[in-house]
Amino acid sequence: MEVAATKIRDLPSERRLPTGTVFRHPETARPTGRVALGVARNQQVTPELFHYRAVSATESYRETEGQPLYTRRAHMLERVLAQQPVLIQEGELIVGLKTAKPRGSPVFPEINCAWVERDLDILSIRRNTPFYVSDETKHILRREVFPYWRGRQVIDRLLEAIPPDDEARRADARGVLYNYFSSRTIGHITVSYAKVLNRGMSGIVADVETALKRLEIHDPLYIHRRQFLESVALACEAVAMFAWRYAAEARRLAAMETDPTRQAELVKIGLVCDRVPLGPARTFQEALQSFWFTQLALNLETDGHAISPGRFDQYVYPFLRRCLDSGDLSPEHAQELLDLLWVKLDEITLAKDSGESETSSSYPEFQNLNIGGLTPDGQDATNQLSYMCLTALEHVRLPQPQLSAQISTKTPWKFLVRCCELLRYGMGLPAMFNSDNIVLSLVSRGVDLKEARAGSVNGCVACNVDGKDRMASSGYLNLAKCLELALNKGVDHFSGEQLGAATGEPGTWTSFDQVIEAFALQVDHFVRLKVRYDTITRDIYAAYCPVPLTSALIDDCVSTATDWHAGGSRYKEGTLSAVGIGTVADSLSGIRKLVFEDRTCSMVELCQALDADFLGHEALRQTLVDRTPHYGNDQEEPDQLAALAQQILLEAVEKHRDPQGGPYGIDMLPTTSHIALGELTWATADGRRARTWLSEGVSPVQGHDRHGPTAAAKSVARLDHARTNGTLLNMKISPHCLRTRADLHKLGALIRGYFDQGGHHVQFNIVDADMLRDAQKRPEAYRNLIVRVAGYSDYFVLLSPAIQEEILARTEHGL
Amino acid sequence: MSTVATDATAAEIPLDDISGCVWDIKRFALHDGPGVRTTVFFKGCRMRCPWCCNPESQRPRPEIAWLQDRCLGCDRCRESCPVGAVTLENGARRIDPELCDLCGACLAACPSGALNQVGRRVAVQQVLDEVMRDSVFYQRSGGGLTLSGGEPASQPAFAGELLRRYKEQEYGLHTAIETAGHVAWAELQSLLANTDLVFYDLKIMDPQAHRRATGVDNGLILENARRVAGSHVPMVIRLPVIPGYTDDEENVAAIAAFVAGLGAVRQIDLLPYHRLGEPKYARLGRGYPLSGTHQLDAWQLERLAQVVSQHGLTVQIGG
Repeated sequence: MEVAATKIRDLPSERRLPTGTVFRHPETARPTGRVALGVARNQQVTPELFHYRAVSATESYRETEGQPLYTRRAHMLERVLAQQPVLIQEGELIVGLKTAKPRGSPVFPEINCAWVERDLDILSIRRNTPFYVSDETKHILRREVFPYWRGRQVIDRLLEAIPPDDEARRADARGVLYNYFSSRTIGHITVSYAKVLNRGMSGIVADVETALKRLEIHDPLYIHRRQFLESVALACEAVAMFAWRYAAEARRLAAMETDPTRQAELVKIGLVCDRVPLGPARTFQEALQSFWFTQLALNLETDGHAISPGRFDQYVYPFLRRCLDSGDLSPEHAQELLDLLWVKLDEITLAKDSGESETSSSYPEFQNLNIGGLTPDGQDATNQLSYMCLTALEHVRLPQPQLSAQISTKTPWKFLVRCCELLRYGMGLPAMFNSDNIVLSLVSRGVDLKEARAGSVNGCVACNVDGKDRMASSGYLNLAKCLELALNKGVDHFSGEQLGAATGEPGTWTSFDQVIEAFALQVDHFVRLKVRYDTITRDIYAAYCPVPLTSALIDDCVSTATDWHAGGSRYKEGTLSAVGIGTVADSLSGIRKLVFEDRTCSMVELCQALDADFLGHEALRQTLVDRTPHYGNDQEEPDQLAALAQQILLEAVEKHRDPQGGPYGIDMLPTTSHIALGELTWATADGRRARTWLSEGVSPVQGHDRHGPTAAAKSVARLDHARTNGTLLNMKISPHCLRTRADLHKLGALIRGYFDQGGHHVQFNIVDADMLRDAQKRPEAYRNLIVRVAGYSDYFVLLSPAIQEEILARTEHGL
Repeated sequence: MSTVATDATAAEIPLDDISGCVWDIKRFALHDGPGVRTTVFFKGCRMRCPWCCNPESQRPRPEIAWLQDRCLGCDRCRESCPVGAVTLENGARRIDPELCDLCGACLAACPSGALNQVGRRVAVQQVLDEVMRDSVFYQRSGGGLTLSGGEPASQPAFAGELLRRYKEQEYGLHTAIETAGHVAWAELQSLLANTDLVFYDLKIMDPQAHRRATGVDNGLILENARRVAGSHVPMVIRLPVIPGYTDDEENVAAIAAFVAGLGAVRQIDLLPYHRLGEPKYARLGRGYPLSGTHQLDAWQLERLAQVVSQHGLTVQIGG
């Protein structure tokens, strides 16, 4: 998610590499003409907001007033798919668009269109992820959509249940919490694509019929369940009918086509869309097309983000193998089809409300596509398609799909090194994941071992059981703000409000344990608020927003006749995302060292300096930045403070249960919230000034890890990764460290070594000139950035401005 | 980064262990031998090459360096120095290495880390504890320990013990040394028993020019190169290409001919001149001897690479 959000948002089509590099793009790095055309189309199009879905949903809801909610939801999807613009673009072989143009966003008025109404005129000019809105769209939305929905949206039910003056909302406004689920649905969906590919929508409808027959008339929920199951069948059929509209369009175009080659392609597209997703796929092209219609329909059912393809190379591989073995498909054409699907996945985007556009500032929709990993039997799962997915990334070099490589102890070294080769392009992709930790993490929350091995990464870094789970993070908990409040009796520095628990007067504390105790009390307080918020919002979605299509594709919603939003999946976990563990660890380390060990500064003095945002206390600030032990340097003491902070959080969280019957857990990822929440966090005892960013994920404070990537990796591995649902580690590496083939093996060893220690995920910024420029402006955040040329290395920010310019000139020239 | 990257250095040196002076321990070193490595930089070198990019490695004793960009100008260092070694000259702090007795008062007084001690006396086991932190990465990559300089062979007992105990404690993981060869053969030889790869610097073939540039004669260096080549320890020659000193074709050809004649050595790395060491001179209160020298263009390096390969040697640009 971090990758998608900040590193590759505006990815240039061609990444250049440093001068003197031994690396050359291989011949295979060139996509075919039609793929290049699709890539260029996605890069040139302006993200735009469209009204079609909103109008269809509104019409449908008007017409179905008084009917059961399940039925209304299915009819809405049916209407949306029946009226959706149908467009086959030049050169496409895999077809289907979410909006009238690629990278467009629909509106989901039944969830929350109040924000769209509020932001409609500024949407095209806001600083994060703007969307163009035509006057026609504005007019139609204002006339036909907004008036109907006032008071009828899910957000209206939510605001009744959790009014703006609620404690959880106040904590959100003041930056301790960030609550998801208010502007969009729960999301984080990885459905069983395998089921659609292997059995077709018709197979799922057959399951629904079986479930209907099994329903007991004496069941007090009999009618409720019957309505639900009928809605599921309706939703499945709606997707098949959507495909038929594309079949018809393909034939219409074929009739007009003068080029016989393209004509044959269009005829074939028509046949494929006739067949899938209603029936089981037989060929590779059918499998990809069936996958794509499913993905598209899910993206039109709800606005939930992170609708992730999961273990793509596993469920698609049998179709590839069959076609290659029979000789019906050449490897080159298979690659082209895959590349074209990559272009389609990149077309998906969604406009978010202004708050979320700050905390998750990205166009990409976190469609996490996994390759590699383990089979359910615990064997290496890497196959030919895994490598082809890497080649697809090399060919298209687009931010989506968010490619994740799962590396287990059984993964071939060659696969890991090939991933490293792609990392050299500087896109931060693929993100690298430790399969063995995914298994541990899932098993530790009660997942069956075989299903855990078939687990995937959803969204940013979250562990997920493919097609059987519901584990969405409900938003962020700002740990640094919890510590700020602990050092200020629970009073917010910005507003003077009593925000947290009224913990004691720091000036009276005589031991470090009292600092920890106050911090733990604040964490516990806000976790309780967060869990209460999550419980209510989940109830609201269960009550007002059933999702028949998602439910059709996730076990065991059909067999238990329970909607996914109501907890129908086999596994579920309530999750919140912790932000700022590095900032907290370094702050605690600074307090312990200066106040309780060296005793060079009293607690009162420290709090005064913090209150003053270090104005007039620059010497103390520098001491905190430079002369106290920091997390991320392979030193046990500060690293153990990070582990302690995590432990405190885990204890506060794990005593709760997800209301729908699962455990409650954490993940540790920031998206871009460490910047947004940082703006609402006062000065911290790691020397950080007020309103500046926090540490992200589980990474050390920016610039505080100064002993290189191996030391940072070992520090981060001291956290308990298996007891989280995912952690995120960012690393910056100079492109000059990756000049030769031998260097790729070294990067591979760094990744493998981190995973040997139990790390969950790592992604790399192979730094470019922009980052070096930024490093010049804000050297403190880049103290760990190593520039290595010839046999000599030094920290970039320690070089004289003239030499920095020289390196910049060189890098810019080369990159 | 000119500090020794270990907490252990603050601890007392055990009396029963050999100690030496080290100015940096660099983890995730990628270009000092195969795999992921940790490079231990020794302090002290008898040569004074003007292009040296690690001037802090030259003097054998620890010294104090000053980082201008971190300095708050608070003057606490000068006030705290009991022997008056800290002075302020034209806005720059200078710590007189002759007067300074390394008492550490200025380091403790500096609030922002603008003063750093370069070089510490450390015991073999303290260095090993730090080096072995990255064992998992050496095992995964075929990497290990590299001793660099200064001149590692100038502290032969310390270096020899470091290599021997590393080999013993890490069950034979890879070791390398980087040497300029200007040491008594016995000292260099004592390291070879536990060394898997030698990076050997050759600069100038003409004895007069060599003496003029580096302050020492090259007779011993060339003699030792022949002996290392005969020792069966794999050796790679490194040639820093410095404009006006080592970059003329005649010199490069002479070195290539010499290396080809060694028989056992098949590779020369050409290390292009860079000015990245320049700010370090200022930090140590010294002037940069090569100011105004420009870097070589790619085509010039290519030409020299051709000269080397004409002698049947593999050549690599960059280390």
